Amino acid sequence: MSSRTRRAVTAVILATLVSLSASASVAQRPEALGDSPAALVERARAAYSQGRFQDALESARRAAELAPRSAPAQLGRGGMAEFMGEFDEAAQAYAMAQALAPSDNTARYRLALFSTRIGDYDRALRELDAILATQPKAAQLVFQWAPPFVQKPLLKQTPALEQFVQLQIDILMEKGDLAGARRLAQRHAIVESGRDYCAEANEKTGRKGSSDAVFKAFRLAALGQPNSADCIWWYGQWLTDEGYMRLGRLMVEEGTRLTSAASNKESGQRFVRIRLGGTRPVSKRAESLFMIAKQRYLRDGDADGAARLFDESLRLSPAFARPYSYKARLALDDGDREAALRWLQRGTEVDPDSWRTWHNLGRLLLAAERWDEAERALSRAIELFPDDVGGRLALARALYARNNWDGYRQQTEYALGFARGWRGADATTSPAEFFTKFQRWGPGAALPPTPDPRVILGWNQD
Amino acid sequence: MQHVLAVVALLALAMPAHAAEIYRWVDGSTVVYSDQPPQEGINVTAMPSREPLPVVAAEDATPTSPSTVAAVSKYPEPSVSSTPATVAEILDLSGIRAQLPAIATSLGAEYVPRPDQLEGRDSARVSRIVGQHFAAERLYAAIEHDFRQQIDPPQRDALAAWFRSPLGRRITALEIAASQPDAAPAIAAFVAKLKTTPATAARLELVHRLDWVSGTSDDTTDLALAIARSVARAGAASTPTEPRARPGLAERRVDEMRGQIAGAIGETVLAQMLYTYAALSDEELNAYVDFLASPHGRAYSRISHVALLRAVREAADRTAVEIARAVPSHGWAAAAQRTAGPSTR
Repeated sequence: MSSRTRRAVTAVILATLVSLSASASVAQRPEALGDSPAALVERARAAYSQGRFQDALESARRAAELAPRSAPAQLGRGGMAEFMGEFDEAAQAYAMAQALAPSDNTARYRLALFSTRIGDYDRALRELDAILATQPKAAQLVFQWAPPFVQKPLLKQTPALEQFVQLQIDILMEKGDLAGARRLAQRHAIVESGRDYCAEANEKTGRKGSSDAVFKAFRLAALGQPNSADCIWWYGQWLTDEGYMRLGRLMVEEGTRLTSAASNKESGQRFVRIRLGGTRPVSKRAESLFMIAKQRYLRDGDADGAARLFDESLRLSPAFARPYSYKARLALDDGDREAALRWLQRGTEVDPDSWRTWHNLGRLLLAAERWDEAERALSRAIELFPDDVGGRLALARALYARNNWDGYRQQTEYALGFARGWRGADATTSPAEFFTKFQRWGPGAALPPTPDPRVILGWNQD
Repeated sequence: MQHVLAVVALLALAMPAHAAEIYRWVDGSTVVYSDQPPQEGINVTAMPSREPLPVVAAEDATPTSPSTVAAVSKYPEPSVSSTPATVAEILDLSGIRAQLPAIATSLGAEYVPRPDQLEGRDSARVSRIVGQHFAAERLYAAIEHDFRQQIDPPQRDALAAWFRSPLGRRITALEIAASQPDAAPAIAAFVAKLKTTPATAARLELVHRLDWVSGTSDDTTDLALAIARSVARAGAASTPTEPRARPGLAERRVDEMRGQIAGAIGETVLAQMLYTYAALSDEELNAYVDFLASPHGRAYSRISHVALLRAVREAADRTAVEIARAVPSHGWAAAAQRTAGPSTR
């Protein structure tokens, strides 16, 4: 699900909660206002807007319990449960909503979004088809067959329709049907032939446009310019950092297929192998749980909720390396370094090609001053990804601690040179200052600093 | 024992020092360090007062240190033997043993509350816990243990050759003198004087290199963070609030402050070094730097640092946990209420 779709989900949740507020007030029981469905819904809406998502879910749950025959109440609960990664609860609530209002298109649309999120793409498409079938025949024909010059103003005047098309495109891309997604985008004039979306995206990047604007632009480039290998690749790497393993892979593989340079092909294949799990599949549901878990941990500070979702993600896709790094971080937050090391070691066992897991393992061993083990793990990390600046600086420290001055010098020179070339000298100021002193005065007593700068898109996060 | 020397004067300066950027206050039984000021109504605890450090960059300074010369004469010279060196002798000759009481006191003082922060009984409990864990003998035992494990007889002899030399003994005496609490006024005066009569470029180069080979700034930062981490961990463990506090997370936040702390410590270390070795010529100081840069000197610095840090970490953790248990957060809160002043009726 793209960031655009995610925003759509957010909008839908808010809209659902608002509509729920109205409908629940009709079905209000004679309890005190503080416990009425309407008040609870209002509370849920306010909590959601304020970023108190757990409170929002609790209020939505209570509202649904107090108004069990209210489809909007069930939708509200389903929306919040989905947002929090409580997928079983969401599925149940959506099913109830649909049973209560079988012809309600809002329920169908919510279900289509949810089905996309958990990887049930056929169900998602069926729900969208069902929505379309409820429209007058003439409207269906116009929507499906009118030429792009008609589609463009039509979608512009009807945002809901554009949202509908965008979801269809996302579903096709998630299914791996990039050609189908492109055809749909052209048919509905989401993209126009002859327009240089890639240049526009690059311009947005240069002007430091908002993250959303930049990535929306690259998505359009991927849809509208099938031969723009660099743009497609760039989009794939961004998706990878965000956690979209499946769509990220699709884009990187497409970029790799399109590129003519052998070295780029090799680089793309390596990216898929060491950053996207290689041949190890990640189910859509596991991927979605992972991404929501990250949000609950990093955004909400909800360590317990996040841990449960990471566990569920690993249960569904045990060879998915990225959740292991987060389980390690959670263990570290509890002050349990040994447990953190065990999680990372398990991550390297299930996916020995996961560069980031080796990188994290090496850095944690470094923090524990287990120099030999750190050296082995970090050597493996940079063997997998030679341009790993943070990994090389960490390896340099391990070598320095063991008086291996040549090794320290070699790793540091490479890391500093590479970082300077990509990001400028600012990314590695402290190791550079340390290295200057080392060159001038020989080995010092303190160990070199080991920042872990974000140097290249696609190789960050976790 | 250059890095140990610096600890005593620096730790108090270092952690809370960056008063404009780092705030310290008491939250329940937890000492909170933050780069953000506390919420309204919470008093930032008193910091040791200090002058801003001078920018030492100009030439032609000739620091005078009559107080240092006088101080040196107060301390008896360690006994010197021509027999094979022992660990105990090296720890004596290097000044480690002599400096440990002041180090222990200085480090432990970080936990001791202000008189108005706790009831007399609780305050006495805290002092007893601190005194128990930050005892010089404990720190000495840890360092001695590591030296025995890691230094072989040829290394001991090589170290002894330096520390037994007249220059080595003189430097040890200077370091011990500068580490004593009564040297503080002389150091402050010296630092103030540096503003008008800065050190020479050659001397500055030497002290920078001395800091590099001894790791003094880094070691001091490590010790300061060890104290802060222990407090953060103990505070997180004893906080009953929901969602539950996570000790590792609190610790990570402390670690993130390293960059800010290290800069302040680095400046202080240089000023302290300029004071301590003011009585030495550049040639003499250079000889000391060369010794510390030698393989034996490096091993000596490394072992003493690791041993001291390990001992301090253990002492800090035990101290923080026991204080958190002995004086629950309401004890601190009650004292704070009482000291808020009489209520108006």
